[in-house]
Amino acid sequence: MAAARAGGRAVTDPQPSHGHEAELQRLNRLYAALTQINQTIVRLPSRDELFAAICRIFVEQAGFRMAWIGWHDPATGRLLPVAACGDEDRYLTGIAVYGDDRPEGRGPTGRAFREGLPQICNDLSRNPDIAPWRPQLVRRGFEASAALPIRLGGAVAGTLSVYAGETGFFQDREIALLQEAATDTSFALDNMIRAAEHAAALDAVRRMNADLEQRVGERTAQLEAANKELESFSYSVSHDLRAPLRAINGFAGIVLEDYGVSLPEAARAHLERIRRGGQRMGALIDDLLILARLNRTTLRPQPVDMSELARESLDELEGQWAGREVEIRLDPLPPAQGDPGLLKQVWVNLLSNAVKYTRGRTPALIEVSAQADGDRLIYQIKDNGTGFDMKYAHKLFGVFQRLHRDDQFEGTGVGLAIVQRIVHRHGGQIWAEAAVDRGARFCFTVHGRGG
Amino acid sequence: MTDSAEILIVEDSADDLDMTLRALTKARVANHIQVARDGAEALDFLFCTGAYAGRAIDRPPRVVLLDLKLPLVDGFEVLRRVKSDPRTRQIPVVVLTSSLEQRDIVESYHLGVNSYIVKPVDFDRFAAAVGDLGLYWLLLNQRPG
Repeated sequence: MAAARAGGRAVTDPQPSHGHEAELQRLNRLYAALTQINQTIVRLPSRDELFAAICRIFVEQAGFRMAWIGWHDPATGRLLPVAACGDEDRYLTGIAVYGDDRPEGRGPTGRAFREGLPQICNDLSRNPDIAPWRPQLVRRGFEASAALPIRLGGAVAGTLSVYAGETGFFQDREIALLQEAATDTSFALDNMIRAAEHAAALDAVRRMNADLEQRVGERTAQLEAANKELESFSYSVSHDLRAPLRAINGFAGIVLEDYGVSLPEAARAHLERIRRGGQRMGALIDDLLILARLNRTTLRPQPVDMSELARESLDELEGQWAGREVEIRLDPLPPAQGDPGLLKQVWVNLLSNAVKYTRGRTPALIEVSAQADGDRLIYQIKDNGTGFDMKYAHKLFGVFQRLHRDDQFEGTGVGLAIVQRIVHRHGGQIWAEAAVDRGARFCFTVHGRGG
Repeated sequence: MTDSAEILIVEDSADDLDMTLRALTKARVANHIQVARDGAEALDFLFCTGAYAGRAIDRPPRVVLLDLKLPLVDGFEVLRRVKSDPRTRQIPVVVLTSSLEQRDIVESYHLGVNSYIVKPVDFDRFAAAVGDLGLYWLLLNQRPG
């Protein structure tokens, strides 16, 4: 009974817009509308769907006669109705509302757009600004209207306009709720754009990844094919190139052995040159094969006693300094984590270089040491040999690059390339410092010495 | 008479063959050498078939020097056949090849090779290696029975 009486009192209230019960009811409906709008924002991904839903909710839920959303068209200056509800006889298609200050822009909607603030008209029949539309509004029974700005990225881009069938509808709390709806809508639009940008960025990344994957796949296949080719090439080199070389070398040697005494001096010298040429080519082939094999050898890292490796290498090289005065200082070296076979090759090559390029020094001095540098270990081979000019240092580790003439210091030009490749495969670095006639210092690091 | 041989050389290269024979002669172990110029001939000799049908299989060579790259039947196949037959399994086989490819070495040992020697390019070292080989297998190595 109480509810019926309360309802009755609201209906009979001569000033419904000021009646406490009626306002409560209005606010309740607005709250419900706002709630629905917020649910819709979460659910709907597109602007047009969201705008249509907002207009529908304002009419069906909040009880407005009409609601529409205008979107500013910079080309014409018009606020184009992009969504509407309650516009039964297509009133909106017959009118033009502008965002600028012409007569058709001075209504609440145009002003809300321009000023960026809610515009309230609680009695349409008395507001001079709505002159252009008054007859039609009155005919439809619209008594009050509110227009609110909708923002995009902080700037006003459109308007939300609602029409009530009673004068004085829009009081502070109603306006506050409408403003909240407009703010939420603006926020939703920004999110949509961000989401769209995010999706586009994601999509771009995905496309790039797919593209990259495909390219990597193609490249890997090419590399595998090239690697196979290289492998069979070096296999052939190993087998087939050495055989004729052995014959050249061998038969030159046989002629020298069997007929050397009866040959003129010049003939013997020429045969010796043939043999030396053959030997050098053999050394070159062996070095190149080592270099080629380095790329397909699987590293077998383990703790390596570097002192031991350096000592072994020196023992093997001892024949190379026979008859010379060579002083070798071998400091204790910390162990490394790496492939013992390959690291041995590093020591052999670097130490044999030191032995070779100190030829002519008495005494030759070769110092092997190590020092910690942060969390890495630097191994160092220093000699007092012929050194080299630092302006050619960039050529030092290149294949077939030599910084000395062959009649001074023989070599294939591959040894340091092998060393560098091994060090790089261990994640380490190698560099050298030298000066002409003042010795050289080779340093290398081995990454990941581990536990 | 090819009935018995102390060394079977399986080698298709005339150059390498001459140098090998020369090195063995210099090392004074060149008696009773049998040469096969391809893998098929080597198998005929070892298993007493074809041209060697009249040979007695119980008089095997003291050592086989085997090249890997051979016409008709390659060295791996010869090695596989020799080492998988109880009649020939005990014959020492030394691979003597140009190849220092790891996979060739691994494969040879997998098949049961007794030794794997890479032919040095340098003639002196080649001669020394072959000479040592002959001496080792003919004079130092003891075989059963």
